[in-house]
Amino acid sequence: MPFARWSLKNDRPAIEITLTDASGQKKTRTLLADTGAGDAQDQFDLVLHMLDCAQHGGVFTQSISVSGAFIGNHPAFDIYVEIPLLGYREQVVAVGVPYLPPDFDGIACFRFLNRFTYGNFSDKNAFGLET
Amino acid sequence: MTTTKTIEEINRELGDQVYEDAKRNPEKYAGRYIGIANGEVACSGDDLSEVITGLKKKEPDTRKLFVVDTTRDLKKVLRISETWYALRPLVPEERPACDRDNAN
Repeated sequence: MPFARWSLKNDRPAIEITLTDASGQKKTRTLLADTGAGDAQDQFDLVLHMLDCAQHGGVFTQSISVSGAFIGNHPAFDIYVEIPLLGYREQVVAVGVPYLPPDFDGIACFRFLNRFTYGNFSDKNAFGLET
Repeated sequence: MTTTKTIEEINRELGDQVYEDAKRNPEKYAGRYIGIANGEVACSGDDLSEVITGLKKKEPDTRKLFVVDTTRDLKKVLRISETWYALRPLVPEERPACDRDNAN
């Protein structure tokens, strides 16, 4: 089964996704893999910088109210995301925020991670996804 | 004073109306997702990718598009714990890639 594994970033679990801009250029983004962000029934998969959403084909959908780290009403986007190592290509829902945790381009929330089998797969210095 | 609404605002307002209407009259809409382009309902369906593909054929500029998910609970407040995010002004090397892309 397709499997992808990434080294921890600053000792935190990370995954890489690919976004595609209007010219067709693909950009890699490193996201904090946070199984504690949101729940399985939540209405969004990712937290991304709002510029990334707008510049990579994100289509506006209804805005989302968020409490906690990103308190406020934020624009939401349906955005096409790829994980090439897994052959994964899906339209997902991303919340666009104006600021992010240091060193990361966004957050992969539980609803997104829960689409895969996830974990360290016996390597304590890595985080992986498997379809 | 007259204010001109942007197409984004018009789409968003129509999206709110469509959402409320779909909640009251689900039989009127064929599908979970309703696509709006340039201030008009353009397509609908149960497959989000198909709805967006249909929208982009009508209007390639994604800023002029909007999708309504009629099943979404808009009253739900989503929580992301702030306990271990050091949300603070970032030094340049900590900034997200999109900031660095735009600076180049």
